Amino acid sequence: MRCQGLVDSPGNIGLNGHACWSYDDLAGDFRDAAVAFLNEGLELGQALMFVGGPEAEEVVRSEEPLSAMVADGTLSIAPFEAVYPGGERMPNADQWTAYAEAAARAHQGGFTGLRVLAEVTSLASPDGAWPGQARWESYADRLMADATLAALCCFERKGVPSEGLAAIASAHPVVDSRLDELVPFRLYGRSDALALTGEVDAFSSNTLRHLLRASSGSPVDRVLDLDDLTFIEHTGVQALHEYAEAMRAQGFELTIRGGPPSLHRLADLLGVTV
Amino acid sequence: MTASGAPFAHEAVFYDDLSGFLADTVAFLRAGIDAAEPALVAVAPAKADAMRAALPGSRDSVRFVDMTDVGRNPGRLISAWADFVDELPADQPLRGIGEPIWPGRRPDEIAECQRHEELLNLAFADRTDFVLMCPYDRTHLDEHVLAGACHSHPQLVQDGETSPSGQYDARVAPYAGTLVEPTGHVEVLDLAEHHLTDVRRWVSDAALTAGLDPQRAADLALAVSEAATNSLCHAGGHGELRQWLDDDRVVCEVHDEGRIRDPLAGRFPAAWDAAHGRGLWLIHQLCDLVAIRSSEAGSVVRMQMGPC
Repeated sequence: MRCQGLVDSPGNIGLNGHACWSYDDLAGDFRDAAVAFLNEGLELGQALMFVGGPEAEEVVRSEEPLSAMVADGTLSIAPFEAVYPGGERMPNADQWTAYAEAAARAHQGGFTGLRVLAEVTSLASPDGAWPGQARWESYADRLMADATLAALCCFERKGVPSEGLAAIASAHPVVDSRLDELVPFRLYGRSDALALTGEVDAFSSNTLRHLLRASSGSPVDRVLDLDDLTFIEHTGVQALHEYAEAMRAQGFELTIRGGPPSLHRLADLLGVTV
Repeated sequence: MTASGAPFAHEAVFYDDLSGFLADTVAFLRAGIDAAEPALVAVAPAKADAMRAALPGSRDSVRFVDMTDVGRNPGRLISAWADFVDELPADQPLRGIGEPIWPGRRPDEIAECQRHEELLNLAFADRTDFVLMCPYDRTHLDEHVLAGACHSHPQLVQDGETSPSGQYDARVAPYAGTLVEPTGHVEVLDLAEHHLTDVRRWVSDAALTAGLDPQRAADLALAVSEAATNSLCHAGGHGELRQWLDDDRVVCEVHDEGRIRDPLAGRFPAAWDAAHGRGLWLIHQLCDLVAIRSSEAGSVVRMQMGPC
């Protein structure tokens, strides 16, 4: 089962863990999270890679024990421009291919997979940028469920609007516990289903609708596991209904497993199939 | 069946006893059957049984629903009538009988039934060839209730004769006035200071403690959550929740500074994107009784749920 939950440290998230982290201080909480994350990768035998902004790169190159990992080649530094040409994300499918190829190279090199420490505030901070980042995170997460690629996605807390940070974090199975208040639900990939956990209310249902649109087209997207969803309000039921309709338009029947009493009560009253 | 284009007719009929009730309603239904006009009858089960017995073979064109169920919260009734009307062609003449007020109903329920009766005139103003008859028990109902029926019904039926009501008042004020304040202990919660998750748990715990079964407690918590969401999203982000017990009923009330202007808000199933409508409609479906008052000073949505 894939690791999921709100955690105080990203040091135990598994081979295909995908965690969203917020930081205030590169040399402080960012460094601490990075160390915990990378040390787990060493234990698991994964190749370690960093990609991020220049200030974060400077910290990785200068702060122990990260600098030692860089010096002995344990941690490679991928030029930001090489991963994100022009400082921007490529289309989701291309961006995924780039990461998947890097993971394949790690396998060829005898590693158990690839572990990416990503400091990507700059991809989400410009006006209007976070929705695309949230969709990409959701897209990639569904594919990561069956990969041996782990990632820690770090964002400077003040660098991204809180609404955006909430949406981005909601697309990760593992989330920084300090974001608890911001992240009422998480939508993430598993090898057999798309899992929705937490609560969806009127304030978060637009985020859910947005993330559901990030379908990667894989069969996993056709099964929604709601066993760990504890509440959903009517606008959330509407979002699920729209998702089911969109699937149907593509010729697929959405399967929904479980769900809180409020889902079935509201769907019944509203006369919608979800 | 012939569509005449006659405007919506909303008639009060006053009866003295069951035989009088049957004389008026059965004649009304029989005329409909003869004209091949479908009818929906919403009365208490015992009355429905008596009507069925007096109308053998009417099963196809006359449908009965239990008023003590569908009309338990009178705020659901317009939606139920609309469901019946909307499944028929727009020019199909049709009939209805609805008795939302019966002797023994609580005063707070009767007050909402009276507002419902007024709103029917507005709700179906554009539906022609629809005759809706509302029986009132002249022997057992209070004088003011019978007088109210004369205000809310444009037509009165006396001894089989239909005539205009001299007291009919077409104005509707569904949110006017104030609700009776509770006399016992009241719990208060500031909505801006609590996460909705905690609000739902608070309501659910209070309802379970009061003896509601888990389904009813969950329904009340869901209704309060919808009302609180309306306050936080559409009424300036502030609101107050009060909760108390009224006999064996749990009462929750959400106050905010917003103003509800659409007199029919929540009475029809609203479009998905309607700001207020769908939340209020769900609240009406979920609760045993809903009373809404709104003025310049703000709005209050009072929701009640009994033990069964």
